[in-house]
Amino acid sequence: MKYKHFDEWQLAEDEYFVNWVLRPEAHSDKFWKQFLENNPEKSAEILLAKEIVANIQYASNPRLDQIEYVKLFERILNSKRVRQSANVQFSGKRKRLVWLRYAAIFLLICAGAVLYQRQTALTINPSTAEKIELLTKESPEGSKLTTFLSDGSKVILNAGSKITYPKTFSDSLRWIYLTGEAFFEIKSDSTRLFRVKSDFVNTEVLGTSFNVKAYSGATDISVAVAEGKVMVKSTHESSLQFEHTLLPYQEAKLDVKKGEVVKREFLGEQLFAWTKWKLIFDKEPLGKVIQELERWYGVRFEGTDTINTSETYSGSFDNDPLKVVLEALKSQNAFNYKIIGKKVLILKN
Amino acid sequence: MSHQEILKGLENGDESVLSYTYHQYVQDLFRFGCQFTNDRELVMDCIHEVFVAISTRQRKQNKIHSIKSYLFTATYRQIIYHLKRRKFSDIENRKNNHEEFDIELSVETRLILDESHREKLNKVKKAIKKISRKQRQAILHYYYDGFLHEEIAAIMGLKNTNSVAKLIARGLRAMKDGIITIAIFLIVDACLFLG
Repeated sequence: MKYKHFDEWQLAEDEYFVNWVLRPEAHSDKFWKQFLENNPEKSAEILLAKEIVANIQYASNPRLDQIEYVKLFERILNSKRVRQSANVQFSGKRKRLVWLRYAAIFLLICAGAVLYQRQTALTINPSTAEKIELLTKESPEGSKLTTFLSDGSKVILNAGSKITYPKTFSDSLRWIYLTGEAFFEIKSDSTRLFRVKSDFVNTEVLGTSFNVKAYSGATDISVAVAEGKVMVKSTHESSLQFEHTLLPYQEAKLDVKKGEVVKREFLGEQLFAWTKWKLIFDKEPLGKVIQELERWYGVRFEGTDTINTSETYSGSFDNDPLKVVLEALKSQNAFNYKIIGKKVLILKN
Repeated sequence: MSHQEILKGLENGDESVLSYTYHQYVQDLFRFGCQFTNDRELVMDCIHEVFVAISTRQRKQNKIHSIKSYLFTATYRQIIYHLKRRKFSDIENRKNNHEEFDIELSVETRLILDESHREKLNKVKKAIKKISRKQRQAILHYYYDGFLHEEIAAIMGLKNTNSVAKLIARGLRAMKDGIITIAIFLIVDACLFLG
């Protein structure tokens, strides 16, 4: 066996070895394990060679962001369709030309001219088909926003959220890119899927209403359904792959840190309450409550390190001013505070 | 999905296969294209061309042995074609020779190194800078992109697989001291951690 006399460099250069490190398969796995068993003195070389292979990477590693990613794919799809239909028309015309060939050269030239025109018309098309005008709507912290899309669907944006979407949707797909939280009431269209893209999760529907919460950098992402049927899928970038169908009053919750998805049933309107300006906490840890208040009222808390943020609190507020909420927390002994402009200072007891 | 299934699907204009291929390879292609230029738009245009061509049968596909290496080769051709045409007007976006296919050792991102480690690592970085652009490209294609020698030869326009093997071996040996110190660190670290 040739590998017996290999040093770590020869191993690192060997195609069969490299292939095993990068793409282990049952067959190669068996081979190298067997080899190690028979030649235990080679374990250092193998370990070193593995490290050499695994450590090399590109210093510059640019990636397409979500919007570029989708735009590029739509562009490819459009051009492909346009060119394919161009091909079909072209070959159809040609057969007729064969039949006409003997009739008159004059006709052939005419037909050729028509063909040429048609072809140029079709090749001009892609550039117009490719252009997708994107709109962005943002709802800053401390406010909410309701907007309508070109297909008549309604989107309510929660505080600190942003959507990007094409001004007019294509014939095959309606899509929107979301960071933050939004409630969707999608106009039913059985021929055109509506896709909400967010970090880690794609939500697909034909026409329903549902809530997506996917703030950037958040540790959990939630999709909750009010009406109809919704598909929740992992995005291609996500290392965790999943796919769930949700019905009314079902929620899919992705825990980004743990890398797991939980599907559960929920009761009442709590998850949608924010769309009616109701702020509800149901045994939420104080850390989350504060995060929510910061977004909702557009304020910053200071001095949170002195309090226990894992203690849970409950409460329901109907479009109340910040002071009312803070007083309620104070009465539950969460903290003492002082409001200075856009800051909430937590006072030491 | 197998290689044959992908080819067949693309040939039949199957859009789900096109979508699969796109998902699978577009980020790799984008990273590859960006090794030659800083112009993201240009790279996207080239990738667009490549995918449209492969899905509308503008190229004979029966000669394609591996989708991934075909896509790389085609993207490279597109990019070079466009860069040559724009040579004079677009100097600022063209990368310097030493920036193309710059190699990094992932220890830098994987571990927090102390001062003495850092010093050694800097020496390695200097050693990496010294190896030629072609050697770096071959090494990255081999160890990071996972191409076989034959595929690298096609992407880089080299006549035979021997020259690829040579590029890799020479480049690797130039980085040798550095890589070995780092590999040993890692293994010692791992042993301490486990034991």
